[in-house]
Amino acid sequence: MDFGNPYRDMPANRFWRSAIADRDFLGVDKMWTPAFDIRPEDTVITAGSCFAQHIGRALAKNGYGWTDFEPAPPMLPDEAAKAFNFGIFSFRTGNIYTTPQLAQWVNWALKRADPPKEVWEEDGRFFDPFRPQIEPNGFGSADEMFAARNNTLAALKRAIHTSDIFVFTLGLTEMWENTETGLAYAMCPGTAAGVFDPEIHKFKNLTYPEIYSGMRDVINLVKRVNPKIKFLLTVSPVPLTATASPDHVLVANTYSKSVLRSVAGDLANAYDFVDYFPSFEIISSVPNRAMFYEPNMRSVRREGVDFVMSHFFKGLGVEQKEAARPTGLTREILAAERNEDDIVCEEEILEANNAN
Amino acid sequence: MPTNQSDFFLIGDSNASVIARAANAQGYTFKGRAIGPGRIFDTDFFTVKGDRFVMTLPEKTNNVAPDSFFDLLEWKGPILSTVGFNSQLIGQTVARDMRIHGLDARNLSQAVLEALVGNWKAPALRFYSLLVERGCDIWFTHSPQRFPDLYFDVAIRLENILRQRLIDLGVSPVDVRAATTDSEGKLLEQLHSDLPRDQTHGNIEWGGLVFGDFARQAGLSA
Repeated sequence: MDFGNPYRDMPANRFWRSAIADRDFLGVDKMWTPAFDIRPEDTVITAGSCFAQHIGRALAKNGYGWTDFEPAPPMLPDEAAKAFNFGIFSFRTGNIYTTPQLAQWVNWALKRADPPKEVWEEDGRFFDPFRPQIEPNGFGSADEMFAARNNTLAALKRAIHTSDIFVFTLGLTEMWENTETGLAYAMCPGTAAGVFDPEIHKFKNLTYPEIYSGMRDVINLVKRVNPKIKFLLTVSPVPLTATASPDHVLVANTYSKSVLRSVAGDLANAYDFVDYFPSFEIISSVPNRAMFYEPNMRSVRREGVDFVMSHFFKGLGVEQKEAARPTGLTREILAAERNEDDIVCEEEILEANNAN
Repeated sequence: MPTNQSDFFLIGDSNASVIARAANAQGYTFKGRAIGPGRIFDTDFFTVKGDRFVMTLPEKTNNVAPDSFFDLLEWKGPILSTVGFNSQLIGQTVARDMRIHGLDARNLSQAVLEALVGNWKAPALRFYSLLVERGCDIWFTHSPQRFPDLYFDVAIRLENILRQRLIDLGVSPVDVRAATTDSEGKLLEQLHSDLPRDQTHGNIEWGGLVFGDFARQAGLSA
């Protein structure tokens, strides 16, 4: 008797040979079936590691409602707007590499926790420890720094309350925390700004349970505030610039990406309002032979970004536009005309410490 | 050839018209004129043809005669300008735009505002630079400091940034703010424009105080 088995009726994209081995990788399709629709009229926000910027820009360029809740003031030139981190993400948080960082920002914005008063001062300039590169030369005073942060928190709060889709790119498992406050920094103190104090500043390589529970808590918190919001998680395909773990950076990178990928997948499996988009696999998986990376095997080539986004829009079932203008509250010039290869990746400053 | 039959040269926005009336009232004569809405100075508003200073937006300048400023660059006496000090417009625009997004313009950093002024006031800065390069005896004066609370702070900060940029260029300030504003830096009520519904300008008394300080510093005699 032939009872059959579950594999017999599976489509071609479930088998390695027919999905990958027998195909040109550029022709591989159906890598993402959206769990929910993303419509042009939806308000979409992006945050996370630097790769999230690509998604925001592509959405805006293709007529989707990527929204900048903290746009640059009128008449600030594009170059200056970028230098001051306007229009990079949907609010001026800078890169949010880890889930504790994200949780902090969300809790501060929703007034569930008081924003910290810690300030890094250097040569008369004042830096926000939680977004030390948000202004190119820091702030003129601590008060100015806190005031600027208030705008960001107001923007984030409004974004949380009103958005339909929250795209978050998980970036790192490694973080530095202040043992006195328990808060996670955006960067290791002493790199972008600040002074490293080994007694206070501790390295932490987050585990799967920590990241899963942290991300789940953020999702649930945001969902309570805004029941209509849905989450699209991605994992940055950009490898670590450096690791503070005792491992080789390649080994550390594999740990980081594996954990983040697992968390994103499990959250997508656990909640019907959470989806995972496989930009990580599209860029970094073995079959593409690293063709989407620059020679440093880290920076993602423009072609790779375009390939990722073509899958994104194919998944949504829409014809990708080449030069559509952004909509919604976006600062259209910034989103549509900025050099698309030019993204803001704060973590890269770590390479400046490489004495080898 | 320009002559110095007039006492000074005046160029500026609607605030300059009050100064002009005050100067006339005190028996002074001047070349040039107040053009009107200050926003025209936020775009490229002039060109130089030979030694002639040519306004390029006559259609937006209250029908300014094309030759009103031709000899500005050759003028040998003092020049008083309010160009660029339409602070109510820039303050209002920034504050309102940010409020639409639920943001507070007062929270913008000084560095952001400096970048903003550098771009927004680029035509005005080019104007002052040109006059300094040509060796003109150029003076600027502030707006009356009369703004609604919504954007008072940001307007003042933006104006002070422009002030410093001009001083750095070598343009001399005519600053009567200490004598014309209250403890919060707002124009004294008795110096408000007498015109109904005018929420921006100073009156002729204010213009007289500005002009008096300019005349004193520039060594004018009626």
